Amino acid sequence: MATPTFTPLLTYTLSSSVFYFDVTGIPSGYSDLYVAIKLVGSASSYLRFNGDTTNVPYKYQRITTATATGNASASSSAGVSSITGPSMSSTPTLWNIYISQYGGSKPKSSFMEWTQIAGTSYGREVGHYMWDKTAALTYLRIGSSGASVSAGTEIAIYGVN
Amino acid sequence: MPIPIGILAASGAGASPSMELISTQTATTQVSSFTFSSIPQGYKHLQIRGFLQSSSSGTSVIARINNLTSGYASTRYTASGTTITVSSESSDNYMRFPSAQQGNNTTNYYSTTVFDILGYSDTTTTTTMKCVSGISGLNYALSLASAMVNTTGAVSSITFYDGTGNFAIGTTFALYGIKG
Repeated sequence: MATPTFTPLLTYTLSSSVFYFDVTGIPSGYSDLYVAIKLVGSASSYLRFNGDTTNVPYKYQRITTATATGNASASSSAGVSSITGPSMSSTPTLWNIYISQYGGSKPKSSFMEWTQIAGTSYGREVGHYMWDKTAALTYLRIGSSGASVSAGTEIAIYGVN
Repeated sequence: MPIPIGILAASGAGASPSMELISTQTATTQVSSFTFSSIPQGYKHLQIRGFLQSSSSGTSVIARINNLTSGYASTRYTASGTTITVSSESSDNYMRFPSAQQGNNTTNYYSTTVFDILGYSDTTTTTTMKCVSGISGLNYALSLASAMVNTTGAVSSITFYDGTGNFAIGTTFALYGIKG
């Protein structure tokens, strides 16, 4: 049988609200990493590789739509302290992240996208983030900026060969 | 709250894979192109994932299917900084996709690019490839692109070229087959 390309590493559902949670012990035996999150909570969300905020280590280019009918807007930055995720609500937001060569010694190049439809609130973002550090990625921190990530939030992580 | 991987890591073991790695190529010296040839026809779709750096500045990654030298058309939607632009070509000699990360071996920044070819073995429809690409670091861009070649033959080879220069050391293309 051929080697599976996507190997499930973790599926987990939060049973209580937290300010943030860490997924630790990510193994190094894969080429890339794929992360799928069903996010429930309040306030804006963030993602940090190895929990890192030192020297605003994330660079990005992204396209965002924030309304049902409005035009997309683009933005970029050469240094921020977190990967910015969607503004959370009680309606789940789907957030996918693909990280190339996460275990290597080069800065980590990653794609992310999220889609949100909550009542009359719509959002959609596609972005590229670079974690400008050479350390291997071994854990992820997902959190809320000022509020909480709620029970029912789900995360699944896959190793990609 | 730490959630250690490993507690639930065994789920899915033994399942028949629906996506398989066919081939991976990584540049150990600067190269002008990457070619996947003799592509097996036993899948429904193809996906190519690129980890790309270029020796040039701002030129497209271009591609040819089955070594065809004409009949291509392309369109791209690109955000760079706060500007969004749209560009397209027709009656072209290549498929044209977003640029790779500039660098010329002087940086460790690479772009992440994913190409999809749906129904690559289908001999009744023209071959179309779509692409999403992102670069951050020395330059910044996020692109959504698609391209087609006006032929209905099955795809048996794909060649990717750097538009005007070479792909840098460490550039990687990986070809996957997706079962239907």
